[in-house]
Amino acid sequence: MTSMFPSKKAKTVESRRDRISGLPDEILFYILSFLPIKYAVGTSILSKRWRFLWTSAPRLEFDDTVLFSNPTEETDIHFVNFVERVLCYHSDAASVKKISLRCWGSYIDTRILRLVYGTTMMPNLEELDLDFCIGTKIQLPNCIYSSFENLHVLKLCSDIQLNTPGLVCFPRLRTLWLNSVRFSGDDALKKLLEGCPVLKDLFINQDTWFSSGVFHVCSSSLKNLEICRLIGYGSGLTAKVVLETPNLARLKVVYHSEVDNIVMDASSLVSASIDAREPHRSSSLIQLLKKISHVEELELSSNTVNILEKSSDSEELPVFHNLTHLKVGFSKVERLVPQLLELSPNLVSFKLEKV
Amino acid sequence: MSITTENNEKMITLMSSDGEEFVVEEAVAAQSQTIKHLIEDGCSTEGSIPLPNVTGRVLSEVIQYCKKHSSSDDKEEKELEAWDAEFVKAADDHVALTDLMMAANFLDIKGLLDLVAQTLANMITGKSPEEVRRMWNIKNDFTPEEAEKVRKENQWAFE
Repeated sequence: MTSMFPSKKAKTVESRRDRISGLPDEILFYILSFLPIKYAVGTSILSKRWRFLWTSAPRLEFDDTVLFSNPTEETDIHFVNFVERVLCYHSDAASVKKISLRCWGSYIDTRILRLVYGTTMMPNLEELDLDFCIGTKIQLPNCIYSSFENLHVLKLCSDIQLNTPGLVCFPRLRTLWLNSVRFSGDDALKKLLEGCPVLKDLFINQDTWFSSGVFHVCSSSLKNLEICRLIGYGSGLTAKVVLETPNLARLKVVYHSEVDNIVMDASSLVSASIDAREPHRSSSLIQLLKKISHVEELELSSNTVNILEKSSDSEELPVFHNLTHLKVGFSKVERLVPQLLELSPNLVSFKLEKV
Repeated sequence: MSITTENNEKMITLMSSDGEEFVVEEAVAAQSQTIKHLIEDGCSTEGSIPLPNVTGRVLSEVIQYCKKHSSSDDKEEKELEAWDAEFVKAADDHVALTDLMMAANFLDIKGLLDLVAQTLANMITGKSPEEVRRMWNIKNDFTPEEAEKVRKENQWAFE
């Protein structure tokens, strides 16, 4: 019997062999990359064969919320020192493909910058994921914007401030994920996108507006855009979204409050999903629907349906000539759904989704 | 000889390192990128592909996996996940997971490679170094002084 587990089979000589340590390095790296970093590091004590294996893992995922359940200043410093050591002494920096750094410790503060610098030592990085919740905004150093020629995916979350410098160079970036980050100027996002010539997917969850009250996305390569939590500038003031995205195929919008309108050239749009919240005005919703009435797939949340249902101008809804797939969030709808169905002569599938 | 079944599925023969032959549909075998490329390059003109790195016992498990994954579509994702979990548990009784891992790597079947790697990783998670050594018969070849040094270096990981 060749089972690795002596308990299951008679303990033959064969089954007592150490098969796992005999695997080639690349395969052991691969297995270690599926482990939380704490356990990956823990394998260093198994035997000499394992001592430095984990330091060569191609995917480095650090998460202080997993490592320490009760963070103290001491554990936070431990964490920073450890991550720094892994990044600086990695035995094969060229093989590192992914770094994920999640720090929620409240004592970490600007020490985190040492780790951010550390990531720039991995020349072939394809995915970088930074998620800081440390009570102070961290301004990313300028070198971050031009150190990663091979980066495909960039995810930035929470306490991060983007003061995009003059040189932004992400020639292979396809996916950009900006979750509650702060932009330091009205043109920070614009400059960032200019440095991403092949960007396909953009996700923005934005809780602060630019001082101009205009949210401007400009990218000729962009295919999929998701914008969430749009909040009007100042209380009671309306704001504007301008999309200069001539090749956009999919758009998803989640509003949290009133946005005056979305200005866009929607000609290439195929699919749209809209989740509006009150007090969003039905008139601007209808304006948007008119603009995107040629889409093939449309999803309207139950909130959106409610707003449209209540309004008196829902008879102004356009005809959806190309619409084949319609998905509607369940609400106490009476007239809107039949009306939508009537306005969609080429519908193939209709889904009523329970919230 | 390439054989064709009633529903016109092209069949090919895979030969294991110990000479066992397996006749499978080409679509099933092509789950393996390695075999797919061999077929594309015309290496299966005789209808038989030798796999010198994989024993019959391991190959039979691999084929089971490929059959399931070529007949299911994305919609059955949940069911497939449950099947994978059962499969890897059962495979563990017949072959060493390390051999399965080597085969998945050689045959370049990403899904199977990830499945087995995740399973092996799960076996380490939550165990003490001593328990991991016992599970896999790993011989501790550190002197007490060396072990102490390793522990000190990565102290927090052992807390």
